[in-house]
Amino acid sequence: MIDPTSQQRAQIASPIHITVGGREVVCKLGQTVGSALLMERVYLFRSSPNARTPRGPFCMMGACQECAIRIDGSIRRACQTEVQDGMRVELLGAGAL
Amino acid sequence: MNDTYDLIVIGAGPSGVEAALAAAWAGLTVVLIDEGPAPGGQVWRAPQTATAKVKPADIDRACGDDLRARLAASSVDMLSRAQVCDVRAGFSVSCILPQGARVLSAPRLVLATGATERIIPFEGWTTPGVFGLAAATVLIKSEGALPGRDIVVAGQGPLLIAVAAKALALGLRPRAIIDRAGYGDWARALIGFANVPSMALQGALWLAQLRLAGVPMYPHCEVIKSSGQDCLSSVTVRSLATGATTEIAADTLYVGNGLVPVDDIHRLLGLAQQPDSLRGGYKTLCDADRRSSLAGLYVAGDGAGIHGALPSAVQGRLAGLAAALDHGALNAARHDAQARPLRRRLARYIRFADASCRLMQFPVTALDGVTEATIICRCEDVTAGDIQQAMRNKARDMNQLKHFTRLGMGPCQGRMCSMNAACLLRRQADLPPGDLRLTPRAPIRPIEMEQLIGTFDYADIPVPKPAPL
Repeated sequence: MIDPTSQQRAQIASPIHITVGGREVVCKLGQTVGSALLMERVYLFRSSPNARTPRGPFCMMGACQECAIRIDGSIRRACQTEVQDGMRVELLGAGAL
Repeated sequence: MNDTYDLIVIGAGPSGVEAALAAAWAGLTVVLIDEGPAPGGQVWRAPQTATAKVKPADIDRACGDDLRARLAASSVDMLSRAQVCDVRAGFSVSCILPQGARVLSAPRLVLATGATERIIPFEGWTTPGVFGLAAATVLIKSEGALPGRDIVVAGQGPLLIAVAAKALALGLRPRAIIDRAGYGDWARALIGFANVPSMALQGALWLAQLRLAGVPMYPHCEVIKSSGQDCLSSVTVRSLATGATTEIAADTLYVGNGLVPVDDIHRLLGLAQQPDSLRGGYKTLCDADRRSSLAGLYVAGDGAGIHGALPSAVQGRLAGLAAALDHGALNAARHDAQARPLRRRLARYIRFADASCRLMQFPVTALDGVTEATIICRCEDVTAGDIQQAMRNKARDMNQLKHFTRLGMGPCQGRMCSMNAACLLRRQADLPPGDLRLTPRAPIRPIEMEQLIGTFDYADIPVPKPAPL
């Protein structure tokens, strides 16, 4: 392990708070909404619009669109969106209206 | 903020950065565009969290850090978090940045768009808890962590062993490694691996670590089913040799069957391509200096044909140097002095790369075992059975299949399904050889109207006054 710089230590120490379906989730600077939820053991993000089958992130590279959920009011790919303090995430996809 | 450059490079992985650096070194003004938050592409992805940053650097991290440092020290304009939505010949590149839309122009363009992963679908592969193998590397590199408790790693190719070993290093001992390749395939690959001893050694080290940790290996096997309601609970594995099946309890599955080029833009611009019989997919044709069939356009890296990181970096440099030569910034002698040793290095790296690619081989029979209930188009819930029905209704090409079933019309625009659907179409309809791909169209990434329009409103539309009656 490389010794963290004091700035890095501060980053590790000061977490970011987001809400997921009203529930507060603590995450780290640099995480995406997708990875933050996965590390919280939230795998189920939404349902597919046609057959309503349970879905969650798959490719983590922005290609599959399976992680596209409501983030601060608009549909965004969770794996491509970095967490920010106060972010509101809803486990609802584009088809769920 | 400038919008006109001597050269635009799309993609800031190993090939794109090297292309940009080579052209800038020769004196060209260069802008480098990438979707991600930092340069490095997939293979040399930058650590994003503090946890990932303090991890000791492995070879990928060292290469990535070196690349990023050289880029930062150069005159290249780096545009991160930029989604390219359209490219026109000439060239103009429309992209969406967090701050808004921008159109960049240049007489020359390098496409270095890299690769994406291909997965052989199976029943239940859409169950939450099933991820791509590349997804695992994204998480390992940017987060320094991997979700899951009982993880299974499956598929084929060198990435399989890399992910399993890296999971182990993070304290996550995989419950099983399911490899389509048998020992014979790996033995054959070893000969090619010998071309780059450092990489061969790394692979051997990873295998040794996995053996020492007692990770169960299932060679010449495939995953045929993922079970679980809202989340994964178990994985069914079948032996390709005997057909015998076994069920393994798991909450997370990382599965991948090799890489395919990301060639949306190549196709949009109508570049000459050829089917890649070894790797599946298509490769974009170019000369020894990476010039494509379109004047002023150079292709480098996995986006033009899968070879991996080392060949991609060298191809990038060749492309950048060619752009500089064609621009007039380098004379033929100076160019040749740079390019000749690069071409020799490339040949050696390609021999290594081809060995890896043999492990990722995707024969047309790969989808033979797919059941009717297996989802092919994830976005639209189109199953293999739906495709068979469409074909009974006389669907004979991809566009017809799309019209009959909605396959490829969802948000991913065929990224996850069109190659597999084409495989089924060709296999079952005995069609003559030909291009079985969806028509490429802009926008090549999903964008919201708001991002395109920005602050433009109805009132801004110039309406000419009607002529007097």
